[in-house]
Amino acid sequence: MADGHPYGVERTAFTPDSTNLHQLETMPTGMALVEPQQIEALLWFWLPLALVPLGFWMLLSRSNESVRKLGLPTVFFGFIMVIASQWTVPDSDSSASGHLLLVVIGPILLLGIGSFMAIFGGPVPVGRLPPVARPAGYFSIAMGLAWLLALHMVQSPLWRGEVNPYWMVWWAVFLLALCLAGTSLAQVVYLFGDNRGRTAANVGIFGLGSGGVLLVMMFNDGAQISALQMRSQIWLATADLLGTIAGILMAVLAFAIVITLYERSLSEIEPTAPLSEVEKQRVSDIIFDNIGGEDE
Amino acid sequence: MSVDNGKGTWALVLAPTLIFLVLILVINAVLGLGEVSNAFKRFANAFLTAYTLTAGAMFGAMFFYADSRNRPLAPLFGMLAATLVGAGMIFLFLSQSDLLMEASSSMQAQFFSNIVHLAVVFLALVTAAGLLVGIAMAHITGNPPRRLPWPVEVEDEVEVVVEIDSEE
Repeated sequence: MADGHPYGVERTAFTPDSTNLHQLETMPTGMALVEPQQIEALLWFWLPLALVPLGFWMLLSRSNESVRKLGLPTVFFGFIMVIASQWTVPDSDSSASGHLLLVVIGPILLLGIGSFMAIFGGPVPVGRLPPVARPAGYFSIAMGLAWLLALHMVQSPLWRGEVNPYWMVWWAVFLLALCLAGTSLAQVVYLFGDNRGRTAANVGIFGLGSGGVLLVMMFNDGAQISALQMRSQIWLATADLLGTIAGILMAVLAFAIVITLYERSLSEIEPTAPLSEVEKQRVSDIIFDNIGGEDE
Repeated sequence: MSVDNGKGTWALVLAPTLIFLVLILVINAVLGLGEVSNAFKRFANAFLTAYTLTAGAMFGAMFFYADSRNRPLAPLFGMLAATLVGAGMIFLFLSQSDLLMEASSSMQAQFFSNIVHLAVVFLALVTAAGLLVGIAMAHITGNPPRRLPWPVEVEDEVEVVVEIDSEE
């Protein structure tokens, strides 16, 4: 995927007639880092991409209300700009991820909205939707999955005339995660739930069904992706999946170790001095004000 | 079925997943693989990038932790050090000629390619997890247990006597 240049930007082909390009080619690495294409990629792709986690961080802020309110628009703006990067910086290879986001945002929304409607269309105590929401939710989920399947079987997303490489990564990881996490989740529901055998069976069947789809794709060619390519992608997706999960778990472990070490280093809290008479009177007044009530 | 939380239980949870994964990989390998020589590089790049970025996010989260502890600096520095270790390892391994370099020719290109790759994998993971949780929750809310897990107080039936004024 990467074409061997910083920020994934394709470097203009060297032509002996072009003096400026020749100068660029022979320029020291430090100076070559500030090519206009790289600055464009930085402005139109990497900064918007950085806005997404920054927006989520702002959403968690408790000290400043206005910062928190700006969080969601920041995330939204970042997403839109990343999606638009295929037009704003078409030369950058990283823009293929923006193209992928545009392709999968529709099915993901269908899956999300469908799940929401299926959950709250049932007999929940709060926020209950009309009963029709439940079948409509399942229909929406089925449509989302059918859409994704069609992207493999009917027309795969094309990027520069070839199948978007990030689509192959996303699709293989999605199917693999669906079947592996599905079987795990079924076990969790069965072992920890109370009389949830049917729920566990349904989730397990869903996971196994995803595994079945994966197997079918390992045997049969898709519209633009051959079975051999799919098998390679599944192999590489396993490496991606295991590496990502292991990395995240290691970081969480590091976080836990840092907090544990700090908490252990704290000195024990010494017992405080008993209340003075003035303090006792103050406490009594507060209690009397709150639970004494008014004389009728 | 409900069991106590223990090591054996977690083994039971993970066992089918691992068996399933091995089964898929064996079938995959038997059918024949294409170009997968850089699978280890993909694993290592994913591991280092995921570790460093998650540690960086945890460093950000540590500010919220510090807020509730009179802003101590030690855990902030601790998490910053954990992040820098990851960044240092990425720099170290990528700077070794061909150790973790995939198709990229420069270290910088590989680094940015790793970040985009991780974002794509993370999006796929979150989508799959969200869908599974949604389906499980939809089934749970749609099929409430016939027997509630908490005791239910049944009110005594009160005999209501209605006196009807007879107009006759």
